[in-house]
Amino acid sequence: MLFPEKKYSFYKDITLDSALDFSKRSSFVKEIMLERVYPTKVIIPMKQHYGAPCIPTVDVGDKVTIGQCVGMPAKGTFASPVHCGISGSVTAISDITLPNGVTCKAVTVVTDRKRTHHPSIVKRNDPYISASKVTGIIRNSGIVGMGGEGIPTIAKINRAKKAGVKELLVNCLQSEPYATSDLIRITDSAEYLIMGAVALAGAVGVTKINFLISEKRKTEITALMSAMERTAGRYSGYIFNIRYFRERFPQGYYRLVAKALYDKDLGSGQTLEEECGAVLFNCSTVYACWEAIADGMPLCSRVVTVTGEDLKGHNVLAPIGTPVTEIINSVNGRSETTNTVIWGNALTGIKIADPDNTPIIKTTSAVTVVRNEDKVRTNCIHCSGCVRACPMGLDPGIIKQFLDNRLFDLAEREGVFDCIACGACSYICPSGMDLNETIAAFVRDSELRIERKKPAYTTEKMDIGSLSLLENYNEEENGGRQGDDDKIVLPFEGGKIV
Amino acid sequence: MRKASAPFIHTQKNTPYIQLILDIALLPCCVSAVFNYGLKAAVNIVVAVFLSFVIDIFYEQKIHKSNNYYDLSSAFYGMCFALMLPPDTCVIVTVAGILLGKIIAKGIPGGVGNLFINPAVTGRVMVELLFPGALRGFVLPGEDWLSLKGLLVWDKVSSASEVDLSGYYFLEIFAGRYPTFIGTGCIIFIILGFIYLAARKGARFYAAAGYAAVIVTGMMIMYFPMGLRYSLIRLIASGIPFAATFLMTDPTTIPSNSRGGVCTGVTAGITALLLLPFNNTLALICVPVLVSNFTTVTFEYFTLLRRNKESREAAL
Amino acid sequence: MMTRDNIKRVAAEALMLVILSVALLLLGTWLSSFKKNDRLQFSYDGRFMNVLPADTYTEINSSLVDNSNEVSHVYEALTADGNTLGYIIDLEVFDDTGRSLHFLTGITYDGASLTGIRHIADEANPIPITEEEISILAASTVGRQIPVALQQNDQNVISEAISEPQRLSGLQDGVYYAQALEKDRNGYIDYVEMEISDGIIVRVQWDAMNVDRTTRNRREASLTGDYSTSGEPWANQSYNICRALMQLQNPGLLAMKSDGTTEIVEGVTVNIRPFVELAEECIANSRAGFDKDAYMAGLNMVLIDLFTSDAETLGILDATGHVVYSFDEYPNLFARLDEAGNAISYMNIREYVEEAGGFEGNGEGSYFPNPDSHDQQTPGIPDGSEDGVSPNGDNIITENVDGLPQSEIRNRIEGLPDNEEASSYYITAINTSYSFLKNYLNWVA
Repeated sequence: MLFPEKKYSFYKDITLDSALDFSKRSSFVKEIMLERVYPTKVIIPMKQHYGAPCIPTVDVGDKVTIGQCVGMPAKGTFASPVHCGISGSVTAISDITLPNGVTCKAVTVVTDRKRTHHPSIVKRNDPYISASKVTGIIRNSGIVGMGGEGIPTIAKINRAKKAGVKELLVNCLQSEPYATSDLIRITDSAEYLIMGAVALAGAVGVTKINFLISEKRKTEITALMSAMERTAGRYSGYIFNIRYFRERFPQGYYRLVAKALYDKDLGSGQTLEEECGAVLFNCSTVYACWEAIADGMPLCSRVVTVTGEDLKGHNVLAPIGTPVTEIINSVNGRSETTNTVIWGNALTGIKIADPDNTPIIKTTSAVTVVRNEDKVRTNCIHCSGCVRACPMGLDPGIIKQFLDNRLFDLAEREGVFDCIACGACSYICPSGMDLNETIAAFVRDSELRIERKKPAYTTEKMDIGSLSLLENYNEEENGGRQGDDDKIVLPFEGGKIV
Repeated sequence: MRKASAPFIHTQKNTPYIQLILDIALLPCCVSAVFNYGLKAAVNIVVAVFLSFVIDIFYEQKIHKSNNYYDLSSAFYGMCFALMLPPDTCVIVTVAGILLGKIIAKGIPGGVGNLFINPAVTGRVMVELLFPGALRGFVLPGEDWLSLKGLLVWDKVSSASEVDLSGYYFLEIFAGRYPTFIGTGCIIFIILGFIYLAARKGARFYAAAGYAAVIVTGMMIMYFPMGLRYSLIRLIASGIPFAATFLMTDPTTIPSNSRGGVCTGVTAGITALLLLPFNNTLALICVPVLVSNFTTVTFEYFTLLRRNKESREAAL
Repeated sequence: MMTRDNIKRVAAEALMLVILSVALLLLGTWLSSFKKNDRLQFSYDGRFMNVLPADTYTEINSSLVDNSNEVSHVYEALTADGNTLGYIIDLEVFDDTGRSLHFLTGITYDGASLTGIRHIADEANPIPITEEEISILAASTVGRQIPVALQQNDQNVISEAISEPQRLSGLQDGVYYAQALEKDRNGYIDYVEMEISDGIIVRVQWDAMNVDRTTRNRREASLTGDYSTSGEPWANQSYNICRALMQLQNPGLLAMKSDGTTEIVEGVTVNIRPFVELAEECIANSRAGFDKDAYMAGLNMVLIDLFTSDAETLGILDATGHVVYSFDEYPNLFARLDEAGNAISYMNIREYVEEAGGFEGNGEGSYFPNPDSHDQQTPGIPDGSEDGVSPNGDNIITENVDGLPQSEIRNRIEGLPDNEEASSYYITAINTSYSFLKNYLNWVA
C-alpha cells in the first residue's frame, strides 16, 4: 500500500461509514493553476476577523500602494490590521454590511493600474530571525485564520505559547464540495508551507510539525512529500509528519480534528491548545505567514476558488476586497443571471444579494455559483440520514422540530449550540427539509444578539502615515537586540525561496 | 425566525429517488409473478399500484391541499401488497386490501411520511382477517397463463391449501416453481432486488441483517433434526427473504440507524421464530413486520441519540 | 428534482433488471422442468408401483378419456428404452344410486393381463367393500388375462370345447383356400388351405409366401433358421395350431387373446390372428361353396380388374401356383363405401366376386375382419342362437359381460360369496379398463 499509515477520522463508530465525500465533485481547469485578478476597485472592510473592527488609516482622496496599511486596530482592542492589495486612490470610506451580518466601515480604493508596491515591501536577506520578530511580522501583516474562523493568527500563537503546546498542525483538510483554494497552495508552493510551518513552530516553540491531509488528495500528498524531502536536511531539530485522514466532510473543523487525532470531544468553550496540546493553522494561513516573513508582503490578497455546478473550477489570486462580480467575470463564470452567487462554498456559504458591491475578505475561500432550483420537498421519512451525517452527533431532525415549536431550552439540551453549521444534514436530507437553514440560523442569531450587546467601537481615522506596518518591526529589531534564547534560524538564502 | 439558505446543493438521493430505487428493486419479483402466474397476477399488481397512487394523490390534494406530490412509495406499497397475494385472488380483495391499508396505516396517522406501520402489510393482514377463505388459491406456477377465471367474480377457484414442499427440488424452490404467494417465493429475484438495492444504496439493511441472523440461527437449531435441506427449503419458501429485503428495509417504518435497526430486526426475528411452527407463510411475513413496526418508535427514539437522553425523556 | 441523465440511467437500470429477470426466469423454468418431470415420475412411482411397475409413466391425453364417465386418467407405463409395458387406468365405477368405487388398474400391452389393481378410497359415497375383500378379489384376478367374468357353476367353455369337439354346421366338402390380401411386416402373405370332408375339417395348412420371390416360404425359412420366433420353430407352431383346429373344428374356440396369442394350444406362442381370420374365411367359403379354384379365379378377376391381365401374365404366380401379391397399395379396392364415399367395411375375395356378380353363393355375410368395427360381434364365432348349435347346450355364451361378448372373456373368477354386488363392481372396473384400452388401442378381439 502506498500509504500504510493510520487513517484518522472523527467518525469513530464501528458500523458502516456514511461519509460525505466531495473530493470527486470538482472539475478543475488543470492547465491554468492560478490566475491573477486585477480588479478595478477594491472594497476593504475594516472587520474581516474575529474581534473588534479596525480604524481606517487613510482618507478619501489618499493615494495608496500595494501592501499599504489602510486599517489598524484601535489601541487596546483585539483586532488585526488590514492592507490594500492594489495601488490607486481611496474614493470612499463608508459603512458596509457583509453577507455574514457584520457591519463596519469599508475603504474603497480605485485602481491606478500601476501595481505600485509599497517601498517597505522588500525580500528578506537576513537568514537569521528571532521568534519575537516572527510574531511581530505576523501581527503587523494582519494575518488571520484563513480557513474561515478569522481568529488573528497572533492570538492563536499567544494562546499556544501560553498553553505550552507540544505540536503544530497544518490543516490541509479542505473537504467542501468544489473548493480547492487551500490545496492549490500545497501543489504550487509546498516549500512555502514547510518554511512557514517551521517559522510558526519556532514562534510557538514546538518542534513537532504535522501536516493533516486527506488520503484521497494524492497529488497534494506527493507535492508535500517531495518538498519535505528536498528541504529535510535544512531543518534539523524539527520533526515532520503527515497525518492521513479519511476523506469526509467537514473534517477540517478544529473540534473534529481533535476528535480524530486525540479522540477528544471539545466543548464550545474549550480550545485545541489547552485540551490537546496542539495548535492548528490553516495551510493558507501558514503560506501567508511565510509570504510576510520572506517577501515582506502583508496579507492583502488570497486564493479564491470560483466554481459551481455549471462552471469549471478556477482558482484565482485576488486582492482582498475584490468585488465578487469581478472575480466571477475574470473566469467568465456567471452565464445565467438567475444563478445564485454564494460567498463561500456551496454547503456553508452565504447567498450574496449584491455581488457587485460585496467584496471577498480574508476568510473567503470560495465564490460558488449554483443553479437556482427548488429542492424536492416531502415529509420526513425518518431515514435518520441527518443523524448519521451530523459530525457533532446531533439529531438535526428533532432539533428542528423543537425549534419549529419554539422549544428553545429543549433544543439547547439537544446540543443546538454545538452545531457548526456545516450543512451536512440539509445536504443529505432526501426530503429536502430546512435543517441547517433553521438550526444554523438560530445559532447565528443567538450569537449576533450577544455580540451586539458589546459597546460600540470607535470609527475615527487613525493617522499613521503611509506604512505597511512591517517597517515598524524592522525598526524595532534594529533598535534593540533580542536575547539569544529567542533566536531561531530560518533557512534563508539571500531572501530567495528555496 | 429568519432562515439561512445554506446549503445550496443537495444530494441527488432524495425521497423520490430512494422510492424509485425501491420500486425498481421490486420489478424482478413482479416479472416473476407475472411469468409464473400469468395475467391474473399482472392485473392484480397493476390494480394495486394504480389504486395506491390514486388514493395517495387524492389524499395529498384534498386533505393536505398540496400539489407537489412526488412520493413514489405508493407504487412500492402497492407492489408489495400485490406480491403477497395468492395467485387466485379476486380483484375485489386487492381493492379492499389497498383501501384498508391506506386508510389504517397512511390516512389515519397523517399521510405520507407519517406512517409507522407498513401499509402493504396492514392491508394484507386486514383482507386476510376479513376474507379468510378467499385467499387460499394456491396453484402451481406456469399453468393457465392466460386464464382470468375468478378474477372478477367472488369465487374460490382452487381449494388447495399451502403445499408440502418436501417433494420439490432445490432448483424449483429457487426458481419459484412451487405454489406460494405470487411474488414472495422467488428467492433469485429477491436476491436480484437485494443486489440492486445494495448497489444503489437504496436501503439500509441493519434491521434485515438482525432479522435474518436471528431467523437463520433459530431455524438451524429448531430444524436441526430434520437436516439442512429441510431448513433451507423452509427458510427460502417461508417468505422470510421477501420480508427481510423489502419490508424490513422500509426507511419510513423501520429504524435505519445501526443499533435501532438491529434491535428491531432481532425483535422481528424472534417473533418469526415463535410463529414458525404454525407453518403459515402470511403470518411469517406479516406479523413480525408489524410487531417490529410497533417497536420502531421506541427503538428509534432511544437508539438514535448518542447524547442528551434526558431531553428525549422530558419530551416524551 | 432528478436530472434527465439520472432518469435515463435509472430507466436503463430498470430495463436491464427486467431483461435479466426474464432471462433468469426462462433459465429457471427450463432447468426446473427436468426436475418437475422427475418429481412427477417420483409421485407416479409411488402411486403405480403396486399396480404396474415400470421405469417411466406418461399420462395419455385423449378425447376418449375426456369423454369417458368412468375413466379419469390413463397413464402409459414404459421401460427405460421406451417400450410400452402397459397402461394404468384411473377409473371409478358407479352404481345406479350414485355410489362408486375408485380404482387404479394396470394392464399389460401384450396379452391384456391385469398386473395389479388398487382401490383408492376417496369416493364421496362408496359402494361397501372392505380392503380384505378387494385383496381376495385381486388375488384371483391379478396376473390373469382380462376381461373377466364371474364364474358360474358349470361352465368352462374352453375345457369343454377341447374335450368334446363340435362340428360346425353347413360346411360343404372340398378344398378351400384363403390368403391375406396384404403382406405383413416381413413381407409374408399368410394363406390357409383347408380340406373338408363329410362336414369335418380333415386337413389344414397354414403357411406364408413372401412378396420377395427369392425368400422362401415361412415354413421352410423357419426350418432353415432364417425365420425365428420365440418358442418352437414357426413350422412346428403352424403344425400345432392346425392340429388344434382339426381337433376343435372351430377357429373361434382357439381362445385367441386380444394380442393374438393363445394359451390353450401347447407349443404355440406366435400371433395366430392371421390364421384364425383366414381359417374363418375358409369356413365361410366352405359354407358358400366357394372352393379353392373359385378363389384363385376370383383373385385373378381382381387382378384383371386392376391391371387388365392375370396373375400369370403379371408374373406373380409362384411355383406352387400361389398368387404372390399384396394389395396394400390399393386399400380401397375391397372397401364397401357409403354414400359419402367412406369405407364402412372391407370385402374378401369371395365377397368381391359376389359383388361383381361372378359368384352366387349361399354366404352368410362378411367374414372379413373389419378393424373399424370392434363393437360388432366378433365374426366367425358360431352364434348359437342363430344356428342352434351351442357348445354346452346352454345359452351363457350369448350373454354380454359389461358390454363385452362372452367370447372375449378370458378368465372367470369366483366372486365373494357374501358380497356379490361388490364383486360385480370390481369385475366391472376391470372390464371397463379393458373396454377403454380396446377402444383406445383399436384392439381386435
